[in-house]
Amino acid sequence: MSGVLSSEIEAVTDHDEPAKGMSWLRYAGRKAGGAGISLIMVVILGFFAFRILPGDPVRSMSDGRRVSAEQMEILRSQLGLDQPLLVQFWTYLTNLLTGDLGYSYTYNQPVVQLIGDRMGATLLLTGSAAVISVLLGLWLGQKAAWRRNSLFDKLQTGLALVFWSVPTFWLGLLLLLLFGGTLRWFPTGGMVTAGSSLTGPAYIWDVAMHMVLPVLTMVAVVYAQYLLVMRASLLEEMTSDYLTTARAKGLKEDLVRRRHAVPNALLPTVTLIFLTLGGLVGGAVTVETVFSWPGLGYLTFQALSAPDFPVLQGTFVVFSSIVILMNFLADLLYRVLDPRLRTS
Amino acid sequence: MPRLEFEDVRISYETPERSGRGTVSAVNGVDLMIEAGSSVGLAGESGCGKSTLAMSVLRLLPANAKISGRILLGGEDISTLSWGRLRAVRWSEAAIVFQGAMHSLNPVQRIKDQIGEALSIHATGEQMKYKSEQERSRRVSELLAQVDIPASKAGSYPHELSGGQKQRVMIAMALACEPEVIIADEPTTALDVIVQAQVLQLLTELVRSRGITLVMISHDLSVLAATCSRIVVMQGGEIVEDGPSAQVMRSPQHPHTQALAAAFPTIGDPASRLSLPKYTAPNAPSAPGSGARVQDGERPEPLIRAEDITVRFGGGKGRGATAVDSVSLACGRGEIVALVGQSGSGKTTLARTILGLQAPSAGQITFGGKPLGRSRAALKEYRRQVQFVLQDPSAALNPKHSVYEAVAEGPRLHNLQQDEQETVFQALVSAELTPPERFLSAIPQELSGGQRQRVVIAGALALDPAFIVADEPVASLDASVRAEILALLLRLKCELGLGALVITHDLGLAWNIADRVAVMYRGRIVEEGRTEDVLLRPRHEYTKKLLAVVPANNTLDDAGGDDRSEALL
Amino acid sequence: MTHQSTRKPGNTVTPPAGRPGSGSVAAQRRRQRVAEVWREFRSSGTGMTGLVFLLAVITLAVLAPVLVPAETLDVTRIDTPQNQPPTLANPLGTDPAGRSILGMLLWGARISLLVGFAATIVSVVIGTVMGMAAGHFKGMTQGVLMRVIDFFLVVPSLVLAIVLSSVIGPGVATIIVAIGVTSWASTARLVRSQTLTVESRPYIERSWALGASDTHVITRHVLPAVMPLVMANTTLTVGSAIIAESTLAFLGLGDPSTISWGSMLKMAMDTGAATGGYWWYVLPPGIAIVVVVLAFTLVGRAFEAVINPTLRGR
Repeated sequence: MSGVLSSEIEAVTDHDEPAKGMSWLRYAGRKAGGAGISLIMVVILGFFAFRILPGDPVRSMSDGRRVSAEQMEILRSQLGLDQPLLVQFWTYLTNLLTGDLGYSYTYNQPVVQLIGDRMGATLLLTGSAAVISVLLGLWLGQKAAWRRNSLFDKLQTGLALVFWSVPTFWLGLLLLLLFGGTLRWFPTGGMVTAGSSLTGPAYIWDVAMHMVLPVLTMVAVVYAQYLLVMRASLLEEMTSDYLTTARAKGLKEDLVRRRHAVPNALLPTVTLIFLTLGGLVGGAVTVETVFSWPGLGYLTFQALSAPDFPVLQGTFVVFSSIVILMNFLADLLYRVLDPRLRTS
Repeated sequence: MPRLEFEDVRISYETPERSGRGTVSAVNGVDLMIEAGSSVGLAGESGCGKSTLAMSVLRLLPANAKISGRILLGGEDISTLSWGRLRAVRWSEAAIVFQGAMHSLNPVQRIKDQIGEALSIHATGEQMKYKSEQERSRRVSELLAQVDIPASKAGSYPHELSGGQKQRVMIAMALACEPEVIIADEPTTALDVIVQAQVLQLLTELVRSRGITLVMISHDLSVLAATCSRIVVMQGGEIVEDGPSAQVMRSPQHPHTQALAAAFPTIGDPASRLSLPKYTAPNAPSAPGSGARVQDGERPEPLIRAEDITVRFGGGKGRGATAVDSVSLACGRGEIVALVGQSGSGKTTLARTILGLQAPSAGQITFGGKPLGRSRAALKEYRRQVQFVLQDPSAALNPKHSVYEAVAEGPRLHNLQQDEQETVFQALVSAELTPPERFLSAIPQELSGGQRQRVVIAGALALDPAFIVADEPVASLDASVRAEILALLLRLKCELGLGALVITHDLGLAWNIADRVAVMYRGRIVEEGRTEDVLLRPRHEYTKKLLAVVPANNTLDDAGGDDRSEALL
Repeated sequence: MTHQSTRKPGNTVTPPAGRPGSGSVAAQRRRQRVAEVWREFRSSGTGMTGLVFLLAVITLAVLAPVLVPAETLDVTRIDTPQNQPPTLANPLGTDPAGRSILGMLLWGARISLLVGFAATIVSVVIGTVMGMAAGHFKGMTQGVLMRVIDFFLVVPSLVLAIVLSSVIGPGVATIIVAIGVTSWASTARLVRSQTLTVESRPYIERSWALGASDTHVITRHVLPAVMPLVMANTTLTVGSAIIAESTLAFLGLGDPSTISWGSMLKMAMDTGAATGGYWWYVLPPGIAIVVVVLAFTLVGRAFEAVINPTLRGR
């Protein structure tokens, strides 16, 4: 879902027919069940991706380094790769349930610890970017739709299309070049100034300064998508008959838009926003890499270079689970927003 | 002083199409005076300009509409009002009752809030009290009570209400600010005949007791005749007839009005029994040589039989709905059977079951004595013999396929041996689309509604079927075209022996062309028999109710029914 | 059956000789439709700009070996200075190995466009087939298909692509597969929605009543109705694929020996061009990507407006 085509608005509005008219509890249960199945599929995929696809993980890991056959064998048995597939799978599952995601060889730490340490940084970055993008995108989008074909609209839509076409990492590089390198307004990497041990407000300020460029990068690319979606959704809504009823009652145009059109236009917009969360995660990976932001994304990149399979597997499972969880929350939120889902 | 006045009003739309349609004229010089307290019906087919005229009263037309001439509401010229004054006038002086069953209500707002909004917008001066939530609540309850909606429904969302209830909410909302004028735009289209009667009765009662000026718009002349004292007929943006409603209905002067009036036959009138303007069946009472009574022919042998059909949807026992409940129906060879019922009666489900498109939960369908198969392959031969004509011809044809492809689809699917081109030609001729060459490469959007329906019929005829199942074949068509299509069906029956099962809510249609009538209610057939028997001597309560609310039988100055029907019994 | 046939003897209408047969009526319709679409598309300024630009870029990419002979980019034979800002000889400057950046840009276009198109074909084919199946079939089949589609929608595509690429090993084919496998789901969802819409229309029911089979309904009605939207979606997918390729190459999953816009940027990052202020290395590949993807997007949107007339003037 890019959100660039108006037809995608329609595609997200055909909702789960059987789920209409269910009680709150049954609905939540049904959606939770769906999320659970997705999680299971993620776990299975996470396992088999490294074992079934062509390519020997051990060979990839030792590629470019001088490793003797014996060392490769040791590595293989340490990774449990010499066991039958099903045994490996079972070990994997049981480990997963106890929170053990494996052990990283590049960092010499359990994967869970690595992820735990970095989760906060990613959430800070991605969370801030998401909130700002949503607010900015939705606000500009509805304004543009209401004044369609005006200069404001053309400018906003054009700008959004350009930003949508920009590769996130490149924008990051540019900002780094301009503001970090040439102008030196902002630091060029990391979350805190290296070697410092600030606390309290000074620490917060330091982090904030480091956050500006990466957040700006992410927002620029993501807000554009939300703007286009909100605009298209509102434009669809604007042809509705109930708006004529509202106008006939004597309501001011402004209120017609805010009280009637926008709430209805929000429904598919919210759905699309949640559907494209996966893209936000991808953005996190590239932005963190460019700015050396110490989060899960950067970890993934570093694990890629090694390659450190346990870490890759772990981040894959964690990232996917977060998105699945968010989609589940979206389903619940949608039911609150759209009364038509509550009764059949 | 007239409440509402139009002086040489012309309205046109600027279309931005580069394949230039340019300016489309919707209203072409209309002069109309509506006195205070009167009720006027604005009649005409789609595209005649009646809705445009009505919407212009509150300046609700889209931005690309250009209006010239004067529109006076209570003496004020609407087109010169400032926005502020216009917004104040809207709803408080004139209110519009839109088609509630459609999307005229905000789906995510409770109805009490939507009605209350009208109050709070106009909460100035005398109405200042409506700034308070309590006052508004009180008034909303009052309004809902007046339209017979239980107070418990006030907090509902539109989708939780039935079509009739939504329409009544629209009426309540229109009355909220006590306007002088109410414009009702097709208020009962898409509603059942019985619900329609209830809504119309409510509307006329409320309007009369408050002395409100009513302007009602409809394509259905009989609805207007039952509710309004004066009817104005429009065609092509102009007024073609204007007079007291009884007179317009009984003796229409203008040919267009005549066509409209003919579309709603009076049940019991021998002149319209098995007879339409374009075609009269040889055994019709008005046909020469057949005598005044309809011949009591022998019943033809049954061709299609539904035996104890039950169709249940959704869930096991206890949950789910029974659409069709132990129904038995027999359709004879070359016979037209009308299956009459309101929406929700199960008639469409029964029709689809007969066609094999729906598997029954119990019972069976037999054709020529043999039960239908279940698999698609087994049904294929049956499908050749029994064909389907759908309701909405514009949706019944693939918009990208030419007429040729649409008609040839059937023969191709069945690998018929005959020359395909000849088959298509013959079918088009039988469906009265002549010369066929003109239509071969046309696509649906280039055809009129009536022509499209003929293409659908031609597509059915191309397979040389023995029987047709037609689901509301004329409901989506303009009144003037209705008669033509019905005449076609009647001719196909008389000349080719093509039997038909016609699903309809329209009893007048049954009177026009059916040999037998079956009345369906809540999944059961409550009455069945010869058309004359069922429609003139109804036995079941429900049939009597249906007949009582048919507007054609109740014009405004009519005390009781018509005496002419007695002659046929 | 003893009913009277529609073909009564003595009343047959013989079609006059020389009038169109069925095949040519359909073909004539098709040609007419294509002409209409083209005419409508031509009127869109942005769409035409995008299209013209794309054709120019594709031409340049195809002609790259002619315009910039491979030897000039061979690292072992270069004698031009490294990291030189733009001059007349090298309009876009040189990279750390001394290669002309303009030359690399043209060669990079080949890989970027190739991957873009190839990945899109994979993605769109899978997506369309899955989408139509998920919309057409009911019951268990639909349930399973929907789960699969939802799964691929939910899993973050970049992360999955990284996983796949790291396992299969770096290379152009890997990237094509990775992008194709991770991006088909959104096409599928779009196609499914459209299939459901089409199949709810009465003319499909008419087809069933005429005796149609699944194949007939899908090939003669659903597929033609779905194709226009698929085409609009395809142009957008190419844009996304190009961005995805550049991202994956940037992260090091591409073939190190081939030049693509993404790999150029990776080199820029690796050699510190960003912090070092070598803007002529960082800007051109990125601008190239932006402009090409934007062109695809504009074409896609203009095309969508053509096939969906209600969108015109929006």
